[in-house]
Amino acid sequence: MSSTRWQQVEELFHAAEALPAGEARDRFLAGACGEDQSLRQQVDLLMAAAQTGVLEQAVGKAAQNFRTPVAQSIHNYRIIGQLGEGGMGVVFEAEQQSPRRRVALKLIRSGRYAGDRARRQFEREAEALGRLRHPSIATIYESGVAEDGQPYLAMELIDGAPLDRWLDQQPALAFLRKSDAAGRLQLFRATCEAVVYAHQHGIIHRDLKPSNIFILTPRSTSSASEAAVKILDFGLARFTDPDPAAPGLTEAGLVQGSLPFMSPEQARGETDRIDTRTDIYSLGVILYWLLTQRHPYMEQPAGSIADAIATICNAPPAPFRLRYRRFDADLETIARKALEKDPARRYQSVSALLGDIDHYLADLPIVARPPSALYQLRKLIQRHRAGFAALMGLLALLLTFTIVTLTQSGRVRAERDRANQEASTAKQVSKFLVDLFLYANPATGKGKGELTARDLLTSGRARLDKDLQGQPELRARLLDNIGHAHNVLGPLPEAKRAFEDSLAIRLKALGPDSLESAESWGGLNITFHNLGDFAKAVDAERHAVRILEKNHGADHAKVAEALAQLAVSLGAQGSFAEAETVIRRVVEMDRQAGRLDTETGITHLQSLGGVLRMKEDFAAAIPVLREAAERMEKKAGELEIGPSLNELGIALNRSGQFVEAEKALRRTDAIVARAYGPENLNRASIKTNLAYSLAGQRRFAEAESVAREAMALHIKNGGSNPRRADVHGVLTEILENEGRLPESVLEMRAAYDVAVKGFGPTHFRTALTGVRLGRQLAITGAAKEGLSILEKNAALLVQGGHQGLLDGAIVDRLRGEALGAAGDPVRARQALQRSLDRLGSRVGPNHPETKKARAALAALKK
Amino acid sequence: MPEDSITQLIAQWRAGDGAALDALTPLVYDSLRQIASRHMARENAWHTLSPTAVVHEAYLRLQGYQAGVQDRAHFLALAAREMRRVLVDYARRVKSQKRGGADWQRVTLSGDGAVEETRAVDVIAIEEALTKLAAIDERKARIVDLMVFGGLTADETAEVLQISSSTVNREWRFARAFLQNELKT
Repeated sequence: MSSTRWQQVEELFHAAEALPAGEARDRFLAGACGEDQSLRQQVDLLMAAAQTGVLEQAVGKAAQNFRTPVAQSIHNYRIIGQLGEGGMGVVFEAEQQSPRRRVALKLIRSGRYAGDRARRQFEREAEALGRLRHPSIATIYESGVAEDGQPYLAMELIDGAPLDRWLDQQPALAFLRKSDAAGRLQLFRATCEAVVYAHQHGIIHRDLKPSNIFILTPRSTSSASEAAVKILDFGLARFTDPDPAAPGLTEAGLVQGSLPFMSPEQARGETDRIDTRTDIYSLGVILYWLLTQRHPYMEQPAGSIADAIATICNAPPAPFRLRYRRFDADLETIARKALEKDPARRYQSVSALLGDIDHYLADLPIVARPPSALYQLRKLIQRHRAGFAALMGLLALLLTFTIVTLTQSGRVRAERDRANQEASTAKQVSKFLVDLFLYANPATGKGKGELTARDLLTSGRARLDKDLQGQPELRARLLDNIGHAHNVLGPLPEAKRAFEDSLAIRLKALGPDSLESAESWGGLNITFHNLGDFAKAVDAERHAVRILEKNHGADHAKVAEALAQLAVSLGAQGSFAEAETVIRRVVEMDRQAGRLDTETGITHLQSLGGVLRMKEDFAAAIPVLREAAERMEKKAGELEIGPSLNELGIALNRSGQFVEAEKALRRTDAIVARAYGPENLNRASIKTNLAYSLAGQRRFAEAESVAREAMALHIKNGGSNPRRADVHGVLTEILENEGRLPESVLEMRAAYDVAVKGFGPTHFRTALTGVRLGRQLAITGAAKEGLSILEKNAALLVQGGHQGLLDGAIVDRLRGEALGAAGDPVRARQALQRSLDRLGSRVGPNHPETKKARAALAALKK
Repeated sequence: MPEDSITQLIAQWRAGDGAALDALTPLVYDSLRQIASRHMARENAWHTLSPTAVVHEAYLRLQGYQAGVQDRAHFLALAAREMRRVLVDYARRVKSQKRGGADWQRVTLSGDGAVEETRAVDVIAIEEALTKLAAIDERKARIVDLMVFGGLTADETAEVLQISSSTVNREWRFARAFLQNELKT
């Protein structure tokens, strides 16, 4: 290109790049180039080329692929060729002049310009190797500094291939049984033995990885005693004994080593936490990788170093089952124990790791156990701490699993004695649980191997039906667990199905009076109670009580607990008299048995308070609930008093003591947030009650914002809990008081829809909501439709026997207001008067509901 | 980096004080190391690899310039050129080895894997395109050297070449487009 042409192209290039791409640029270039097509083409090509990043990419790759060139000779070594290259140094094959022999010569990459740090590290490697004389550790011949200031280190030249390359050449295993793994395990054993030796001599390698472990080429004259592997590169070695020269080499926060084989504590730069167990982790990666030909975290994370470190610190190793359809679970257990994130959970010495390998090879039980169900559960709960009512369900699971885990520890002993019937059942329980926890996360799961409680339950149920058909007792026991979890996590029909199945199994196998059946009945009681089918709940619990009395005698603590459950269900059903009789009997049983001041005894006191509250005997309920909360706090700590306090808050609200209610509820809320996390669903109910207290104090703006918080919590927890209807209900009241009537109708409709979906259309809670919806419609202009909905639902309440005293009076007040709006003052007055009479005799003239009824009557008279 | 001390060390080095280059090393080290690491920043972090090798190698070569170095600017320019040469020489050697040439370099046993020939050729292609550029427009080739291989900013490049930053930026864009167009084919 001529220089004028060059200038011409350059000028056009700059002029064109200043214009926006597209039409403006095209027009400019067309004009400037005219008929000169080759000029136009050149400029176009350059404009296009300016958009790529080829130049930087090519230089980057070249810089990355660069290997230090070979010098001719150093000291009295003649360099023959490069063998390898690490972070700090380069290793050459060299010939020593005297004695004449081939050696591996390691040089610091930066040669005579090496900084102090690199020099010290180099010296340490020489010192470490000098301490070690082991057939599986490369022998050092000489170290020093050459005439030109270049430090060097001469080592035994190894004839072999690094483990990574060796493994690449091995065929992939189809299965992983002992016969498949034995050869690789022998190599791993040899590596471990060398590491044991180094640890015994006070040296931690810190950089164990396949490229630092060489598989020796077998010689024709090989003797049995010859080593199979050699460990190289003690460049990052650290001394375990006190070492005043060490600071500077172990700077906190400095990440050294090879990321894929680095332990979490190394990756985080926690140099003061590095000890021999760091090497055990790296050996774990090597073992995993030898056995599966994959890295434990499968995908090598692309992206930043920070991502890679996060993976090392958090990701669980991929299960072997992703690689093998058949494998010996013990091998996975061993690898996983070595790979534990927390050093304290790993093998505590390489010898212990070696021991398990040897046990496995000898068909003996290994010491490592798969993570216990309890441990898995704890991890699961930790993950869920920030969210979900799942926690409550998991706690229920925890209780029952504790029993299983206890059997499990018995199992270990039994197994050592070589098997008995008990042990084999227990083993299956434990295997089932472990499988469940380890592998429940289905491929459809959300994202990163996070187990959700629902995943767990769904897959648990499926496995039960599939795997345990031949083991009815075991199946029933696990069905109970699943039922309890569903009781809290929903869906409730699944809980019902689980308990009914477990009951059917037990009735068939053990007859009607077995204690096991009582367990199923107890579960059914809770399920039916949650479903709002109190008649069935009462019936189920009566079965449980009968069985327990028959087996344990009438005074037994378990009978008392079942009776307390029965009382609560009776109260909910509206059978207040019997409920009170039963719960008072329970308290008396506790008193006689000296259980009053136990947690169980205090819980029964709380149930008494609850029954009294349902009976609307607030004057009696409130002091009982206060006492229960106080005593529970003394006995078990503040975190346990949430249920009593919430119940107290409801009682105070219902009796019109809104200021006191607010106090109790705010405290409950704080406790629950602390105990179960800020997103716990119970907080939604508490906040709903709190909004009610605030609305009662006519602090509507605050009440609305608290109610909205409750709504947000429901949404965060999936939004399907039927108690959401209560939030819409309290919002309706708030909005109406603020004069926002159209919005209030929308809220009430939402409340009704949620209740229909959650409780069913004929449930008493739905019916109560329906009455309110009818009234809301009536007072906002839809009188006819409103009255019809109101009466339909009021009839449902009467039919179901749910027209409790206060609720009944409220229904009459609502009816009166609706009739008034519909232009029927006569019947309106009758209804309102009826309401006032009942309220006056029940809760007195100053109760807020009484005041509302009185105000409605006054408004009607105008 | 403290400019005065660098200039002073360079002067000492010129005067025959070999230790001055040793003292220079840590001072200039960081800024030069950025060259390699910046280019590698997008590479997979899983394979961390020290970018320092290139820098060290360039330093070794700089020893030969002792007497000729004038000042900081010149020193940086030389360093940049040596960085390029280190990479290009290496690529040539790998290439010849692949063709079955020089047999002294034995197989690389490190876990980092062998160099792919296609990659090695890239930097040689750059060298060729850069030679072509230098024949037409010497200054633009020097700008590329300083900015790509020397890791200098536009301002630093401007200082070394005694021209304005805006000229550097302008010429750099064109030179880069030219080279990338050459590399494409």
